[in-house]
Amino acid sequence: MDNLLRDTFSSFEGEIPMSDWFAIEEKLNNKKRFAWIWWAALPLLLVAGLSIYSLLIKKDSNTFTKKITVQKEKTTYDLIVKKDATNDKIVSQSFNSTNNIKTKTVTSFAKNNIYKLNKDSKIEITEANTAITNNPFESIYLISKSLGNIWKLSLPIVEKIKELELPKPNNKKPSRFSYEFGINVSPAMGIDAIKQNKNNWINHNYFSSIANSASFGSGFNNGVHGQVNIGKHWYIRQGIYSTTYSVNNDFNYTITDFPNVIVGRGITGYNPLNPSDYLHIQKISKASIKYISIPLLAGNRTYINKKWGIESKVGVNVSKLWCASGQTVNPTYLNLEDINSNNSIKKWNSSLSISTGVFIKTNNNLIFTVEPNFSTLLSSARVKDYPVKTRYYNYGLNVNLNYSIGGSKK
Amino acid sequence: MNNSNIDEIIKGCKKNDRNCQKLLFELFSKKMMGVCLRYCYNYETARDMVQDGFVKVYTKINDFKGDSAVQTWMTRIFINTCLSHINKLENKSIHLDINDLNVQYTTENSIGNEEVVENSIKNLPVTAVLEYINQLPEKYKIVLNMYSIDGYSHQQIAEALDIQIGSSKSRLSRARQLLIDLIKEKEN
Repeated sequence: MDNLLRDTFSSFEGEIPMSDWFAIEEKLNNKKRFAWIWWAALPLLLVAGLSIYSLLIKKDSNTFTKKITVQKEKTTYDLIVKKDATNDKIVSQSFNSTNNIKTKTVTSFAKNNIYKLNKDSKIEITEANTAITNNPFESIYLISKSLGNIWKLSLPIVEKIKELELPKPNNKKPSRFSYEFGINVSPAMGIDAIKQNKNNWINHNYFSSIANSASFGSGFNNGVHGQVNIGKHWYIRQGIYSTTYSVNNDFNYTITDFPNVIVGRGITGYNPLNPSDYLHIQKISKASIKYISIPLLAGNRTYINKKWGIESKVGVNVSKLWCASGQTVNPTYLNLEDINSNNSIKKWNSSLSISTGVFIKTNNNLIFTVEPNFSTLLSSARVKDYPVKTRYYNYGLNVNLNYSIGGSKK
Repeated sequence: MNNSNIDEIIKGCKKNDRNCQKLLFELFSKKMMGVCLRYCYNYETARDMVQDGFVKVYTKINDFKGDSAVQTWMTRIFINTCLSHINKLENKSIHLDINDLNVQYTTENSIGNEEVVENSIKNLPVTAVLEYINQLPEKYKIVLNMYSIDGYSHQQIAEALDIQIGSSKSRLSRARQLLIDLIKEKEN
């Protein structure tokens, strides 16, 4: 019967209208249309993941391991008392609940090579000392604030013998703010991008021809800044930077379309150029513009572990022209001119910068950050109503060294 | 259409070429409609399954390595699409409890002459056979379709439906009996 059924249906087909193809096509288009959402969600997922991860680490650092493991075979016995256990004390005197406990701090015991508190607050009790030779653990007590009890270590049994009377908690809330100051060095590649004035004062074909003649240059940003950290992750930074844009112009151009300037709107007194004089032009020049900037940046540090993490920041710089020198090509007049001729550079400008990278925190309160950076002037560098505008872009590397000077992080 | 043409169409589909996707639809849509009609109870649902199935085929076409014929690979996708749909409906309790439907069938006459039934099937048009199969309770119909027509093993059916191999075998046996009874009853 199976074979019969298989044969019966082997060439069975059902009618389906062609309009169903259009329904399928629509579904495929919808899938494609919304595919970008997943890509857009990736950075959000990354940030959310890092935040959750850092929260978990934070939680873990505040969780004390209350399990005390003592193994007789070992010569080293680990009492794992994590962070904030620095107030814990080891006492070696016999314990009597009616008497006051005479305590000695961990450091004093360390002298005798019996105890030491290592960096990650793991208390190691090492059996090897003349002071306590016989049954060395019989009279050793750990008064642990973090464990909240007094523990008696008496091999092979570890038992709790008394609840510790903890000192009254300090209700004063720690400050949410901490402070840093630092230096910033940002070498960058730069381009002098030219844009058509939005009022279309020049013919489009000509502009399209010269648009690719953008010059190549470099940028350099350096200065000092102060920073206020709000909580563990967020900060606001302000400082004073020197920002330099250096541009190498190589305007090498064979005339196919000639500038056709609409006189009387942005430009007055423009005399049309004679095309035969400009069949091929090449202008080479260098120019430099230097600003003094006041940056205002907001940033975030997401810790991957205690030492390092991801740092991102965004901000604006208010810039005051310091000096401008050299020559640049005027694409309207097809000549070289002093970049600062007739005070043509804006005295004040502003720029936007975005960067994200990694930071490393050292034990001596230094925070070192390296991050790719993008910055741009928010408006044209030129004050004149040229048909062709100039805007500077920098793609570079921010290198920051900060020092934490106090507050809650200290 | 020869194999090299189909290979070209598959290559085009892998590059998301809309013309190739349309050609693939034109080539296999009727065949796949036939598959969906066997698993679904009505024409409209089968059309929906064909649409969903083709979207899955285009999405997963890069997984097709050519180990089997493209029709076989596509048939599996369409069967899985139908099974997922049926599973969703069952979860929403839209269908009646299929065990309740058993009451209209009896097995009293199932030990009849199978040859008579087989001859009936041979002489019936395929749409009439489909109608009989569609009258079976869903759980029997699915197993009969998968085993007898689509060539799944009991192991594969058990995995696909999340049931025991023994259940698959007993459902198949029951499906055959019910189908024979139905055909005999109608033919008499």
